[in-house]
Parts: sequence; structure tokens; C-alpha cells
Amino acid sequence: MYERKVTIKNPSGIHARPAAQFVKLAEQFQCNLTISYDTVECDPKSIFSLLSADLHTGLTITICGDGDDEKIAVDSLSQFISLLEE
Amino acid sequence: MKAARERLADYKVCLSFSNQTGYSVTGHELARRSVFMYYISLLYPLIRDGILTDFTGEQHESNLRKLKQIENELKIHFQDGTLDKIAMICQHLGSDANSFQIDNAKEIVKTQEYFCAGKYYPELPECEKLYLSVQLLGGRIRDIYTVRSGNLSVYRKYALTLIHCFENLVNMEIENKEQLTYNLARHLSRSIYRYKYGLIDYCALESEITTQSKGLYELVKMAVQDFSRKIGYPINNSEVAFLTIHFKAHFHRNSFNTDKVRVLLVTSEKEDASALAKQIEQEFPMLHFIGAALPAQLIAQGKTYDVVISTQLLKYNGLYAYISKYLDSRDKQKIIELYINFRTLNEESVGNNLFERIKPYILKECQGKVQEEIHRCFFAPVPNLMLLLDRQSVQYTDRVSNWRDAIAEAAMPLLETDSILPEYIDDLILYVELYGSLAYLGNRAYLVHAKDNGNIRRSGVSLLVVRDGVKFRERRPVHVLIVVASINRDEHLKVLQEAVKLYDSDEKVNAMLKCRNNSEVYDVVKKIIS
Repeated sequence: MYERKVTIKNPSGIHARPAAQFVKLAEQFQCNLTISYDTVECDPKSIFSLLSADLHTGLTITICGDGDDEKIAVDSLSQFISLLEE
Repeated sequence: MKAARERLADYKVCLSFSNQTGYSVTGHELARRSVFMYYISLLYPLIRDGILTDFTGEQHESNLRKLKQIENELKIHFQDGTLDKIAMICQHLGSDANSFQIDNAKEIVKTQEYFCAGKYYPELPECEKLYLSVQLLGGRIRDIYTVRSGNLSVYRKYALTLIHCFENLVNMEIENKEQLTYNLARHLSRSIYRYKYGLIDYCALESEITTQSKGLYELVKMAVQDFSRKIGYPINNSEVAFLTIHFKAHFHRNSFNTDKVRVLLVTSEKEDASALAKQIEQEFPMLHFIGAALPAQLIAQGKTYDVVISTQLLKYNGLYAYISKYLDSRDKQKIIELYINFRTLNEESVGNNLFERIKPYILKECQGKVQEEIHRCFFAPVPNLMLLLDRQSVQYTDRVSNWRDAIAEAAMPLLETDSILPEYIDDLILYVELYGSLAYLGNRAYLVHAKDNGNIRRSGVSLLVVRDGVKFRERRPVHVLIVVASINRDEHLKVLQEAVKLYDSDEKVNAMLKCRNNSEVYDVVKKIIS
């Protein structure tokens, strides 16, 4: 298992447009992935799970991967969030 | 042209004609351009494939080259087709320098896109450089409205309008809509800008949404058409996909709280009911499956459900959708219709309201009968045969060469709707060669069917009327040929029993023979069945 924490800097958080791109990115990886903060947990491969989680600006989330490509998956998703500016 | 004028008028764009100049499209420049970009997106497959050539040419190629240089300089990659479409609008830039202003110009001039627009198009007036910059920014445009300061009130009104359009369409009030309103308001605070300027943007999950959530996508699309007329901006299908995501996320979040329609799924023993129910629930979040049953168990279920979705033909007088286990596009359409019918035809309101309004005009002794007729009109069960045999399945022809061609022609509607594979037609012909006499019932009608050797996808019936008749092996002319396909042995007897109703008397066959085209035959068939 491999995980990283990342803070959402984008002023609009993870809204529908980047959420769709994020899900497309997550779907490329084989490992199981979760995003969590406080008591909330969601599946980054499901747009509905992602949008239901209300990932807003300023939030520090933990991206966790479990599987063969866990490291590259978590690093890629973390980079997407840290570079998001729209 | 009238329809085109009306559609354009929704967006305050006017289509007019004069003998001197021909057709012209007038209106505010930005409105004209957003409508142009909307229709270019719809027509793009024809343009890309070279079928429509009015928008391409030397000037278009020159613009495309410049835009690709801008793409390299910006170090980003535009989705396929985006630069092509922007190149088409570039041909019209600079036509009227002072006709419009771009919102938030102060923010736009700070962008790299604005710098590139000025570098590669130095001849353009300022407002056109800004317009081109906005097109290049597309969906990446920054959050330039005051979401940060919490000023969402304008967009809340838009969000509530859209929700109201959806609620009117499905005749259902969405519960717990505060969160949905907020999410839509935030989305619209960015997307209204895209609608206004006709910006090209893509939903990364558009193909998944339009296939896996097709039912909800189609409903949202209809609601958005109404919404776009109200706000005066066209909204393309990618944007509809985004909005569908929000609605579906809302239903997903509120899966136990919304006013869902309770569905009983009826299947045969061999089918995987739970997998099919899950597939349907994912596609149609407004439905909630309360359980599965065999056809024989339907009555015992009592009143625990609102509607039935069945892969089997039923003896059932309520609202039900007869689908195949493959859940293809025809099945999904039937489920949408079932849902809308349920929501629209409320037993407590439509029929009774109509009766109460006309009651004062009816003699007292006739009121009971009239009320019965109204109820039958609104809630008459659809006979099973009409579920199996639709308008496209009924054909009329003057003559056919031989009985084999007659079978092929009669079976063609079932092939065209993917109910059968081509091999089933071979099976039918073989059946007649082996057992022909069993299928002839003596009154100029012939019923053909064969075993399901994996060549039948869904049960169906088709019918062909041959004016001049065709001789089968019995050497008696056959004028009505009925083809039956049944998905399994259990269903087969039910389907055959239904099909026989079509020609079990001379009067019925005579009525069909008086017809002269497909439509007349269908109307007669419908009358026979009802």
C-alpha cells in the first residue's frame, strides 16, 4: 500500500470538469484507489463518488493506492491535484 | 425554415430572407457566434469526413496552421477537433470591430492565450483578440466570477430554473435539492460563460455518461433544451454530459431519500435478475428495485411495487415494460417511456380530474359508464401482441417470387431491429421444408417459427401481407405470413398463443387483405387485437 497527502489549492476545488479528467486518469491504473479526509472516503474511479465527497479548496486529502501500480497511480493523481488551476 | 427561425429566435438571432441578398442571420454578434459554434459542433462529423465542405478551404487551413503554432507555444494539447472549429470561426473575425464587448477583459489580457492571439493575429481589433483568447482558453478559463466571495445568488437562480425544467419534464419534485442547487450554481457560474461565447469544451466522461447513463442523460438533455431557451444561450451535448453528472451524483447521494419509483423485476428462473436490476438502477437512478419474481409469482407480490419491468410476456393489467435481458437501446427507451407514463398518468389525478370536469355535462344514468371508459382509456393494458409487434414489423407487398423470399421478407423487420440473427431466417426456411404442413392453418395464413439455436436475441412477431399470394409447399396460396421468434421454450408457447390471434378467423384475414399499404395493415392488426 502507498499513500500521499495533497492539499487542494484550486479555488473551485474539484468541480465537474476537472473531476471528469481526474476519473479518466484514475481509471488508467489497475490498483484499488481511495481518497479520504476526516471520516469521508470516496472512489476516484467513480465520478459520482468523487462529486459526492465535496472536495473543496483548502482541503488536505489522502490518496491511497493498493496494487501493482500503486506508486505511479498515487503520484500521478497527487500531481494532477497539486497542479490544478481552473 | 420555420422551425429553424423558431430555434434561432430562442437565442435572439433572426433568420430572414430577401430576394436581393438571399438568407441572412442577424442579431447580436456574440449570440450569432455562440449559435454558430453550437451548430458547428453538431455538424463537425460531416465536416471532418469531407461531406460538408462549406466551412473549409484555404483560409481555414491558414488559420489552422496559426492555431497549431499557438498550441505549441502554449505547451498544451487541444482535444481533437477543437482547433478545427476555432479556425472556422476565425474566418469571421474582424468583421465588426465595435459590436460587442468581452466580459472580464482585464483578466483575459493577463493570459498567455491573449499574448499568442496578439502575436499571430496582430491585424485583429482588440475585441477580436479578446474573443480569440476566450476561445483558446475554452473550459480552462479561470474562475473569474466571484465564486470565491460567495456571490452565487445569480447562478442559484439559473440552477433553480434548470432543476425546475427537469422536475416539470419528469413530473417529480427532487428532494433535498439544496445541495444540488449549490453544486449546479457553482457549475453554472463557470459554464454560463462557455454557453455565452460558444466555447468548445469536452467532458472527459461524455461517452461513458451517454452510454452507461443514457436514460438520465436523455432526460437531462430534454430539460436542458428547455433551460437553454429560457436563458437564451445554446448548450451543447458535452455540457449536457456535465450537467447529467451533477444530477446523477445527487440521486446517488440521496439514494434512499428520493421519491423513487418502486419496480418489480420479472424474469425467468435462468436469468440473473440481480445483475440486470443493478444495470437498470445504474442507468435509471429514479428507479428502485424492490425485488425479483417469476411470472407466476406476480399476483402474490401485492401492492409492493409501482411498475413492472419484465423479460417475460405477462398477463398483467398494470404498467409494465417488456424488455430483453440485453438492455439495449430499445429496452432503455421502453423503460424511459414506462417511467414517464407512470409519472404522468397518476391514477388519482388525470382520469378523475377529467371526469370531474365533464361530469356536469353528462346524464346521471351515464356517468358510471363514462367514468369506466375514461379509466380504460388512460389505463388500458397494452396487449402482449402489441408489445411484440410494432408498426415497423408489419408489411404489405403486391407479390413475391417464391415462398423462401416471402419468409426472408417477412422476417426482415426482426432482423433490422436486432431481434434475430440472419441465421434464424435459414432456420425458418429449414423448418418449412421439414414441417411445412404444420404451419398452415387453412385460411390463407401461414405461421413460421423455429427453435432458438442461439439465433434469437429477443422475442418478436412480424407479419407480411402478400396481395397476390405465394404458394408454399401445400400449393395453396398464402396471403398472410407471420413470423414468430421466441427467446426460450417457456416464452414460446405464450408468443405462439398471441400470434395465432392474428389469423384465427376468416374475417381477420379478409380485413388484412383489403389493405393496400403497411400502415393500413397495422391499423387493422391493432383493431383485431384490441
